[in-house]
Parts: sequence; structure tokens; C-alpha cells
Amino acid sequence: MLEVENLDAFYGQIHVLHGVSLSIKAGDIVGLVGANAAGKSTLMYSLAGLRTTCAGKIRLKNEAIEDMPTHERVRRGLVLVPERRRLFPFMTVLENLQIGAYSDGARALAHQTMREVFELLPTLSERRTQLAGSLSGGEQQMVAIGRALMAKPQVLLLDEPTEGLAPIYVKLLFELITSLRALGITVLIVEQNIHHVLQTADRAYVLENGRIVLEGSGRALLNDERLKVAYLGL
Amino acid sequence: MTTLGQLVLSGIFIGAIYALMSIGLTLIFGVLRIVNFAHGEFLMLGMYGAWAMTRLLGLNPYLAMIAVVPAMFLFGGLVYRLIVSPALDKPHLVVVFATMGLSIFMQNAALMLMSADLFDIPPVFGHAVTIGPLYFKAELVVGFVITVICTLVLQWALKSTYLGKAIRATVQDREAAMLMGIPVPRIFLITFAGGSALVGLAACVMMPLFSVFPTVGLNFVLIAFVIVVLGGMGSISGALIGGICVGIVQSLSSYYVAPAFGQMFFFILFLLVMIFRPNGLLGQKGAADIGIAD
Repeated sequence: MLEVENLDAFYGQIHVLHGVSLSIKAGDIVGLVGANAAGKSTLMYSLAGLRTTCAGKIRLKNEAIEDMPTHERVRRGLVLVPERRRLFPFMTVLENLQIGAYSDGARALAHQTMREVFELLPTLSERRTQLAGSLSGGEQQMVAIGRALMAKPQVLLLDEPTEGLAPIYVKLLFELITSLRALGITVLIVEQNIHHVLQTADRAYVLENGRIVLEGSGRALLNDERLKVAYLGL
Repeated sequence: MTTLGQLVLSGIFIGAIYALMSIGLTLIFGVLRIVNFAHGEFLMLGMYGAWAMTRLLGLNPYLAMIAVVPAMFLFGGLVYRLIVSPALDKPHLVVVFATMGLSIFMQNAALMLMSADLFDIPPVFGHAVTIGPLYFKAELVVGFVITVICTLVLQWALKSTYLGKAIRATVQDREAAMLMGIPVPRIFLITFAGGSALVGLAACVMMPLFSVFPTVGLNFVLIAFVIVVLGGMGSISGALIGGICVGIVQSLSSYYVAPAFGQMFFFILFLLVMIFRPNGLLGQKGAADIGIAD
């Protein structure tokens, strides 16, 4: 579904990612873990086509997308839910969701998708006329995911979705991610909450100083001594 | 009392026309976060256009809108592509100097082609509009009505259409808008061209009231800047209110003090607003960072 080959990424002059390769199968939930500043968010932004300059190959469903602008990648089904949610604060929940379906393909299906999103996230339906900026962090994260689902993603990139959330929402969020599998959505998730993510993920990659140092099934990595070394520096 | 009513209402009418001329500026600022220093020259170009359509083709200046507005839309699009867009990812001063350069170029081109003479058009309507005991130039009332309609349509479009929502989303979080599949460079192009078209509309409304000459933009752009800052940068309804305030102050001070002091008094008003409501009348805190919030 999503193939990354030998990706180098730069933030201005800073060389952040070094020859990163990933291969993500359709329908999988894939975790990406690593210490702070390992390059996780840089990888996410590079996949979305924002902020960084890149060299290397990114293929979505066998189509090269590395030279496409962000909105073209969204149109093809690669959607990033960025760090800290980044909702449109002065728009209502409903408007935020409508904006999610901006691309023409998604727009044609917007009414139906909206119903599905409300089924999946019933609290959004109750909050639909509220300004997004007035919601709690957990509710905002749900709007952010709902907004991304409106774009009809095939691959959903989640960058630190549980950051700053109450434990009840963390639990809810991982349940939601698991239910995305049933919708056939492939998920790549960057997470600090390593225990949760490795239990949920089919596969996981460990990023260290801009390089992939470990990969394997989520549960296998959970018990891997080397992960503790890479992640915690023990 | 009649005099006061006359003055206040004329102030409101002329102020609304000033607002119409400022909406393009505030819209472009809200979305692109740039100030188009050639805004006044866009107005000048539109006014020459309206003048030419009226004098040379014998059209009613309000009918000239049909040609001037789309022509200014195209002109705005062209300026965006050639001058603004290449400067956007450079330091902010580049856009400032690029649009200032364009402003000087346009003034001199107009001077070369049209000379420094003042051009005007004959009155459109033969008689004044009476509201009770008050008399107004019909052109002033028509301009007011057009402004109100235009503001309402624009507010509706920003609130209810997909393009309008995309524009508001771009204002609130440019990067998040891109992540939602909004082609932000295209939104910029449409906004810049649309803002220019609005100046074209204002030019057609103003041509029956004012003369056009190469530096006419300088007279009005100052008022436009005051209105935009007064109303809250990026706010369209703020521009309308700001425009009306400026119009009333100018109208009252011209009569009760002296016409020459009209400008001085609205700058005093401007300073007072800056001291007591530094984000403008309708501006939110940090409006310069957030833009159109209403």
C-alpha cells in the first residue's frame, strides 16, 4: 500500500532522516516509535509532503508520489492527522468535517461519510454546532480523526494522537484505531505511548537518530530487549 | 438637526463606499498575510477602466462593472502569478517592496499614457434622492446599496460555499488546510484575484463621484489602510463599520471645522482606537495572526 525507499529528509539545512525504508501492507496498523527527536514527525510530514525537502522514493498503491504537492497526496488517499490536532478553531465541528471532504472524490461522498463518522464518533454529532476551539482536548482529537476520515483515506497517518489526552480518551482512541481496521483503512501511527501502540500494531518500526534500527511485529518488539535500549537508552 | 442628519447619513454613504474599496485589501491580508501596497493603483486602473467604458463606449458606469470587474479579476490573477507568488516564500520585505515597486510603476505608466489630467464622467442621475427633508446625490445612495449587497453576498459566500470554507480554513491554519486537501496556492490566487475584482467594483462605484488621475490611489489607499486597521485586520464586517466611522468623522469635521481638516480627524479617531482597542473595532486578539474570524 505504502512503500518508502531510501528516504532522506531535510529540515532546512538539517539532515534528519537517513535512508529510511518502510513497507506497509494494506489494512495493517503500523506503529512508529522512537525517542524524542528521532525523526518521527519529520517522517510523517515528509510523507504528507509538507515542511521538509526529501530525496528518495515514496509510492502509494504503486504510484510515485514523492514529487506531488500535499493536496494531490490527500486526493489519492494519504491523509495526515498532524501533531496537536490543528483543527480550524473558529469553525464549527460540522464545518471542520466538511473541510475534510474538500477533495472532489471525497466531496461527492461527503453526506454518506459524515453519517459514518457520526456513527463511529457519536459525540461529534452532539457537538456539531460548537466551535472546534471550544472543545476539550479529547473531543478535539476525535474531530481531527473524523475530519481526516471525511477525506476517505486509504492510508491514515496519525502523529502523536494521544498527546495530552486523559487516559479515558487514550483507551477510546486505541479502540477507534482498531475499528478503522474493519473499514479497510491502513494506519501508520507515531506514538509515545509505546505499550499501547505495540499491542495494537500489526507491525512496528523503531526510529533512532533518523534511521530505522528495528522492525517486526508489534508484540515481538514489545518483548525485545533491543527496543528498551533504543527507546530508553538503557 | 436636519443638518446633522444630513451630515451623518452622507458620512454613512460615503463611508460604505470607502469600505467597499477596502474589503479587497482586508481579504488579501487575511488570507495571504501580505499587504498589497499597489492597492490604490488597482483602484486607479479600475477607475480609468470605468471612465473609458463610460466616455468611449457611452456605457453607464454601473454597467461598466460587467467588464471592469472580470478584467480586474484577471489583472489581479496576473499580478499574483508574476509578482506576488514568487515573493511569498522569501522574507516578508520582498513582497512589500515588490508591491511598492508595482505601485510606482503603475502610477508612472498611467502618467505616461493618460497624462496628469483629471478625468471625470457626467452625472449618471439627473436628480437627487430625498429621504424626508434630506437630499443626497443618487450616486452616493447607489454606491451605498451596492456595498451593502456586496458585503452580504461575500459574507454568505465565505460562510456557506465550499470555496468560502476553504478560504476561512486557510486563514485559520494554512498547513492544516493543505493537509485536508485544499490546494492553498490556488486559494491564494483566487483570493488575490477576487480582492482585485472587488477594487474594480469599488472603482465603478466611485467613478461617478470622483475624478481619476495617475495618483488618485494615494488619496484613497491611506483611507483604506485606516479602515482595515480600524475595523480589525482581515475582518469584512469590520471594514464596513470602520469605513462608516471614517465617513461620518470626515463628513462632520468637514462641515463643523473645515474641509481641510477632515483627514486629520479620522486619524485622531484612528489613534484613539489604536490606544483603546489595539486589535481594531471588530478584530479579535491577535487578528493579524488569525485573520478573518467572523
